[in-house]
Amino acid sequence: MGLLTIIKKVKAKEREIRLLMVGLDNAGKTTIVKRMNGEDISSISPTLGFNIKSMSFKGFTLNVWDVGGQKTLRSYWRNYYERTDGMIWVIDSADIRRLEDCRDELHKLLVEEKLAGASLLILANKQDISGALSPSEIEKVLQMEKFSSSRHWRILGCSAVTGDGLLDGFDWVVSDIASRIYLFD
Amino acid sequence: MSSIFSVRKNPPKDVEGSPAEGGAEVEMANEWDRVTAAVQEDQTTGAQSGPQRTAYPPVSYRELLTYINQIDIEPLRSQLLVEEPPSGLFAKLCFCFGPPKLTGVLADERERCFAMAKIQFDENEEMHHRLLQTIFRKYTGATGTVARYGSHWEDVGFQGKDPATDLRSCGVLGLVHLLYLHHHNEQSAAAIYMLSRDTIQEFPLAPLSINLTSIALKALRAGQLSAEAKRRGSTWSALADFYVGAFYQFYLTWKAGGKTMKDSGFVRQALEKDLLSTGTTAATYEVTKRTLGASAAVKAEKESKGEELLLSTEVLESK
Repeated sequence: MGLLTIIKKVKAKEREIRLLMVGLDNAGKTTIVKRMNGEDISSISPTLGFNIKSMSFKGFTLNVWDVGGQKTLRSYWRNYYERTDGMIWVIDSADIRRLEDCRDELHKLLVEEKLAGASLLILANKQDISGALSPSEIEKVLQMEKFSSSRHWRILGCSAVTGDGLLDGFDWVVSDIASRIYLFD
Repeated sequence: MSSIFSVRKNPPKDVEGSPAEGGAEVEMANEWDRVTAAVQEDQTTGAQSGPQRTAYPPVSYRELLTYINQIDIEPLRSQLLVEEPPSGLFAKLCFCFGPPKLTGVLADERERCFAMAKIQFDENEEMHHRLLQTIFRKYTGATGTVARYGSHWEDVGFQGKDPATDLRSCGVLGLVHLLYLHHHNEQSAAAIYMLSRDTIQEFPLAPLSINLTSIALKALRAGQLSAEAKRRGSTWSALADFYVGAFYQFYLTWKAGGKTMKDSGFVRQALEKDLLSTGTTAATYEVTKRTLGASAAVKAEKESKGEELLLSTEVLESK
C-alpha cells in the first residue's frame, strides 16, 4: 500500500475538497463565496489577504480559500497553493480593459508546479451587467489552447448577484475533483 | 436642527481650501503636476490620457463635515439598515436591557453615517474628487492633483488603477474615514502609512481602512457605540473614533507581532472578533489617545508579550 493510497483513503473518509479562489481584484470572488454560502452580499469589503470558508456541498466539505486579488498580494498567492484540489479563477466579464492582465496572471498560475494536478473552473462573472463579454468571447482572449491537453478545465458564465451559473460551476469542479480523488461508492 | 455634527475638540490648524490660498499655489502645483502626470502616464498602462485635468483644492475635515451635513439623505432612507439586534436568545435579551436606544439628533446622525456608506464615488461630484485627492496628498506628501486613474493609487493601497472600485462596501464613508484618521493625529497617520509601505510588513492602507469602517458600522448597528454616542452627543464622532481605535489596534498588533500579508486574513478575523465584543469598546476608544510611532511600538511589544492572538498555520508546520 503506497502513500498515495493512504492519503486517498484518509481524504475519502473526510471527503474534503480544498478550493482556491483567485483572480484580479474586484472580480467578485468573495461575493461568489458568500452567495454560495447563503450570506448577505450587500456590503463586501475588499479582501484583506484572504478568507477561509468551509461549506457543505453535495456531501463534501469544501474548504474555500478566497484570496484577495490586489497586486501586492499576488506574490503571496503561492502560500496557499499547497494541497489545492481545484482552482476557481474569477473574471469580471465587464472589465474589458484588464482582460489581458487577467490572462497573464492566469497563465502564471497555470505553470505553478504545486497546482499542476488541480482542476480549473473559470467563472466569467458579472454576466448580469450589460456590456459584459460572453464566456466564449473571454475564452478566446484567455488563450487556453496550450493548457488544454494537460488540465481539466472549463469556463462558465455566472452572476454572483443573481446567483445564475454558480451551482453549475461548483457542480462541475466538485464532481471533476471527486472523480479524480475519490472512487465513487 | 442646526449642525448635527459636533465639532472636534481640536480645531484643525490648517484651514485648507480657503479661497485666498487658491490662486498662485494651485497654479504652480498644476505646472508641476503636468510634469509628474506625463511621467506617470508613461509608467502606467491604461491610465487616463490627456494632460487637461481639473485641479482639485484640498479639503479639510471640517469643511468636509459641513458638506456631509448638507447632503439630502432622504432618497437613501429606505435602503439603510441602522439597527440590528444581535442573533441568539441570550444576546437578544441583553439587547433589550442593554445598550441605550439612540433617539432624536443621535438617531438622525446614525442614519447619516449609514447613508454615507451607501453613496458611491460620483464622477460629477467635485467634493468626491477633492476628498480622494486630499487623501493622496496627505499620506504620500504629493503636491497637486494626480490622475483620476493610474497605478499611483496603489501607493495608498488601492487595489487597482481606479480607486472607486474598492469603495463598494462603505462608499464615500471609506474615504471620509481615511481623511479623519489623518486629521485625528497626523503623526500616528504617518506611522501607519510608513508601516503600510514597509518592504516586509506592507499592507494595503485603503482596503484596510474600508474593512475597519465596515467593522465599525457593524458595531454601530449592534448598539455597541450607543453609550459613547450619548456621552459625546455625537454618533458621527463615536463612529469615527471607534474606527480610529480599530486602526490603532491593528497597527499595534501588526507591528509588534511582525505580521505580514501572509497572516492578514487571520489578523483581520481576530481583530473583528475582538472589536465587536462589547467588553473591549472602552479600550478601543482609549487607544485613540495614543500617538503611534517608534516609542509606541516598543511599548506595545512589551504589552503584547505572551498574548497569543492568532492561530497561524506556522504552528502546525513548526513541529
